[in-house]
Amino acid sequence: MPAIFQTIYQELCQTLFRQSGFIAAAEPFLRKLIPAHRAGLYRARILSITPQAGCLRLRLKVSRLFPAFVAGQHLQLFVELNGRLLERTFSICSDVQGLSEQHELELAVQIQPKGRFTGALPGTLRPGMYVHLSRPVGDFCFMSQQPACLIGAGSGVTPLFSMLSSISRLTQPLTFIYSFRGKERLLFAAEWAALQAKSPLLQLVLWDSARQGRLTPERLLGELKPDLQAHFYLCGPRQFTADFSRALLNTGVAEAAIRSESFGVVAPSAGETQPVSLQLGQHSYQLGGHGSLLQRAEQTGVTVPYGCRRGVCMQCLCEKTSGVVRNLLTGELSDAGSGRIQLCISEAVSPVKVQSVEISA
Amino acid sequence: MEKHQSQQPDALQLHALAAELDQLLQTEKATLGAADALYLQRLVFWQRCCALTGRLGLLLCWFSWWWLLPCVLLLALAKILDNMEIGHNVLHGQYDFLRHPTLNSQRFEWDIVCDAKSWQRTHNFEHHTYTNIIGEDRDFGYGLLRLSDDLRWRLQNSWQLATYLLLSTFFQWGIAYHELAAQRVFFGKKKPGRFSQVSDLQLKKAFFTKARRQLAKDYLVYPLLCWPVAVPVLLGNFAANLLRNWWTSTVIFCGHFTEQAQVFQPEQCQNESRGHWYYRQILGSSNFSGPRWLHILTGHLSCQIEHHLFPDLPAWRYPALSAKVQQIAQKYGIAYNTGSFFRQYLTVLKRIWRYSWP
Repeated sequence: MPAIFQTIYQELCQTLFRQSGFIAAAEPFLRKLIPAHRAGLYRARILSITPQAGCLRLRLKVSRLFPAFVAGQHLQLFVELNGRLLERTFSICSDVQGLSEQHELELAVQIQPKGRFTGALPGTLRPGMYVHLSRPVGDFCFMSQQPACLIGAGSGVTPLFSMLSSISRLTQPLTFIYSFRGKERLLFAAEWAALQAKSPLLQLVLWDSARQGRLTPERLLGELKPDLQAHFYLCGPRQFTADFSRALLNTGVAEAAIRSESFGVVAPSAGETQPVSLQLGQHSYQLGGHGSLLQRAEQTGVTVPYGCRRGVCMQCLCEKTSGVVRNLLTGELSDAGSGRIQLCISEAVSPVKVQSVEISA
Repeated sequence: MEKHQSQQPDALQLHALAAELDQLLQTEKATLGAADALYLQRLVFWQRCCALTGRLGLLLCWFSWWWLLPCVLLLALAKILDNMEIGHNVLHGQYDFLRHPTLNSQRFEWDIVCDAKSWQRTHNFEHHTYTNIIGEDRDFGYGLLRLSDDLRWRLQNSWQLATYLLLSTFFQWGIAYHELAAQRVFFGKKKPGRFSQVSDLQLKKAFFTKARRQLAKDYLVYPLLCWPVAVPVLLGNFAANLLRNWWTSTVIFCGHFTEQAQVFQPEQCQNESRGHWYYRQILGSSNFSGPRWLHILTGHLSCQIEHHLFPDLPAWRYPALSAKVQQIAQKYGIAYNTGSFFRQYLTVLKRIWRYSWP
């Protein structure tokens, strides 16, 4: 029955307002009353901004309506930069109790000084300002019933830190390995001692790779000797998680006992043809050929909507979820995150993922 | 008239023209940002205010029939702003860089019976790519009017002034049916070799869905919500739609069908350079001058030339660019067609009359 009401409500909103819902239709008025209101997003007030280890730690106050999250999940942070609403994905690094009790969240945003998004944040964000959040998503979640080994590198420690600090009482042995390069790159520097003091079952390894050398799978297995029966949680750059999961699988750890999440920007490399994956509705294609993304789609035999083929008509506009493209008209490079691109004037300069934004009526 | 085209610039000049206009576009694009976001936000707010007060005001018509007049005007204004300054420009992708969740070229749907996606295919692609090329730009005369000697005279052309007035009155239905007519969905024989990205079934579905919603909104749901005054509200909505139709068609006819607007032959435009494309956009379009509110009511189609040169630049920036574009056009000896709104419209009527006869 509610499904029928839902359908009637949506049809009515489409008919009367040509919008998905009443809130979206009322947005122009709501924004006059509440300037920070954005339909479909959760607004969050910045409580404090603390630079630490090349990151900005943002403590945010969210409304009561913000949905609960599971430690390890991530969300999208939306910031309006020069009129443009830009977003990037970050893991929540605070504990779940902070949200349920004080309606507070924390994100550790790694700053890339040349990044179009994170590079602009230190100069833009101020305490008291509003930013916007999506709902938390992701299946990189902690199961507290089994012994566990959490291994994080660099800013990959953020979801693991949320997992660790969300545990109210540790009942199983837990190994936490955090590899960072140099004291000045140590995140959550003030919190580690208290966490260790709270749980005797926690074996905390803060691995300073500037002093101890790079943490490799061999050194992990040889020197740190983690319990191979434990569940493994890996988070770090793409190469890091790939190397560690391969090594763990080789020592006989079950595939189901390894969970990993990785991030990372692939440096644009010119000259060679980059792999492009195109998602159209239900179908996913790997594009061959060469030239613009539109040409490559056609050479692969994929039919995509297009019009002028000269960057005017927006018929071939697609959502790029990751990767860097070059605008063939201006030579301008896009940033590595998500954004709208026109296939006819875009060329991949790194592995690229695009999907159609066509929505049926 | 278009028979006496001025000396066409050679390839080298066209190349320089393209470089100058590209440069102008790049400088303007570099300044895109918060100002555009603010403009769009304010515009949408005022448009919604007009719509809301207009619709609520209609409820009070039991008090005096004279109430209907200002309310109908407000509702018509809301529809005109929605279609022209917001809809037309948002659907061109002019504000896509703001990444607004609904005010973007992929999601926006407007208060007109034409399905936004269908309009994008015929307008953004066909009309903007093949502007005023005989036989390729179906917006030239909308397949109903003969506006150049390049088209064969037929008997029905002799009453085309009446056809024009009829088209103007039902303009929103004309636009909605435009793509279906091209694909011969309901009538006529399929044209061989005509390519379409969407099937006839999809076209029909989109057409009927949008038409059903629009008709239900103005002539069923809103009148019923105002039950005791359902009939005056229904009539008020009808009048607002009519005013909007007349206004939009008048503005749009001033864009490409003025006396001086030139037409092109397909063979002139095969494998054309970017410079020639720019050249054709300037000659095929015409501007008209007026105060700022007039520009806004036309969705800045009063700056049709600038719009055709830079279709994805936020339209409120066109008036400021027009002096520079005019300078560039003059430098290359390309006629820049502008005049008062009244004078331009008069030449449109003259042109429709002139080509009514062989």
